[in-house]
Amino acid sequence: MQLKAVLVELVRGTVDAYPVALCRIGVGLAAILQGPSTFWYLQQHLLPDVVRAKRFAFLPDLSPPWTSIFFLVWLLVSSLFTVGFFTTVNGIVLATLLAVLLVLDQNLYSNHVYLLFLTVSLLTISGAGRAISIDARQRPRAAIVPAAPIFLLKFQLSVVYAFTALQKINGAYLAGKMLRGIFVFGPLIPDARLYQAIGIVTINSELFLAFAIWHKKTLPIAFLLGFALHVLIPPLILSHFYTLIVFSLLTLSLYVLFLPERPQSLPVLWDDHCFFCSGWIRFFRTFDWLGRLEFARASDYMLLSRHSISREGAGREIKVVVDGRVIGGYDAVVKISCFLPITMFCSILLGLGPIRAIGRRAYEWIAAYRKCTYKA
Amino acid sequence: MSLSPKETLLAIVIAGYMLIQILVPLKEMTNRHLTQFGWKMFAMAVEKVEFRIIYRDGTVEALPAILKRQKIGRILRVDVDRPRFVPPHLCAQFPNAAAIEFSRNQNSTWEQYECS
Repeated sequence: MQLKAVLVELVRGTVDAYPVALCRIGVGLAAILQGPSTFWYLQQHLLPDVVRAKRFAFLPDLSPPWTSIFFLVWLLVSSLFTVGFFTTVNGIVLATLLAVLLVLDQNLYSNHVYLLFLTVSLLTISGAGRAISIDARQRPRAAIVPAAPIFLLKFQLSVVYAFTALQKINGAYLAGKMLRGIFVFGPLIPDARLYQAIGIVTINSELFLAFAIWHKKTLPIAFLLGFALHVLIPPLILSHFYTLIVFSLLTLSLYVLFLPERPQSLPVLWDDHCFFCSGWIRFFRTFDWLGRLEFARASDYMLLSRHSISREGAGREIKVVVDGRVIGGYDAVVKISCFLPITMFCSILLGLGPIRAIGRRAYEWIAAYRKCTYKA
Repeated sequence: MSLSPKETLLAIVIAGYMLIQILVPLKEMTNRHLTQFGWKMFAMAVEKVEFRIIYRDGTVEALPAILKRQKIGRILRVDVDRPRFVPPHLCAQFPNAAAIEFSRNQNSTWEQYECS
């Protein structure tokens, strides 16, 4: 019965279009970055010394002039998909180009091209141009998208993590041979135990991510772990730095979809007589891409009284109201950071015990010595 | 709470997508070497495959010996299915080749691909 209710919710439900739009931008940027690499592979695979690995013999070759056209169209449609201009049409063309790479020749395959194909296809089906796009400006519509493709995108991320971990459970990987061979410090530190330990940590981390990202309680730690993993891996495997950057960007873009939905925006109260506060508010406003924050000046007495906040209290520190609870100062900054896509990963760090303690002290010190036209 | 035919179709598509995304990597797990579509990122060793050319006059030459004098048989990805694609490539490069033999993972048995 419960499964049926979930199914009904999935096929009939809708979700907020803003996180989906952010995901589209991240995936589009990953596609743009992937362009030059794809062009190189397309040119190389036609050279006479390269083994042709056509998946289907009947498919025609992409001759050199066509590879250039392919590259230019790729760059054009991935850029337009990113900015959300004729998003559906450009998404279909981009997904088709990616499909061509996957079916044409085994030399043109890569795991991130495959993941890119799946994500671009699902984002296109979902109507990812509904928010933060030129399409949305020209034809304003409700900023909601169907839940089903978004669920599949989230499912896809879990599948990637789960199978990446499971495939690593083999003798060569667990013995540390694989990691020693690819890590940038492999030749310098030959001790196999180090790579065995890193291997076990990696497998466990990926398995943890596959499931933890779905649960509200484990989501913050999954975000932190995933961010650390995707930031650390490219410099550790320098031989694949560029492709890993693309893969990391692509994967982290999908994280945004796991952010809990908030039906109401968060009121943020700030001291409009304070230059320092204005700077922070400008920053928050600029990066509030999900439209989660509702900014209100501390001189707005109506709003202050609605949340039982005194004028002095609002003038002393920035306030944010979450589920009727008023949070102030450094804690408010951390809470607001959770809702900004560019700071959501570091907000978990900022909220850790010792860092929070230092942050509170620093905030209090700055609040006491800041320059304001009005003193509470 | 019942689903319309269109919604039922959508539910089937969702279930189908999920099933494919689980079954394909599961199938690839049965192969102990790097293969495509299995999310085997830096997970396992490359399959070792040796190649040798049998010429029409009966002489035999191993691929590493040929590689010393000419650039040939390059692959762009380590997960390309070499036993499937390298023999036709070598046949096309050497018109006087009668067959290509290959051995997987230093196995003593050699499989043969006849050049047409």
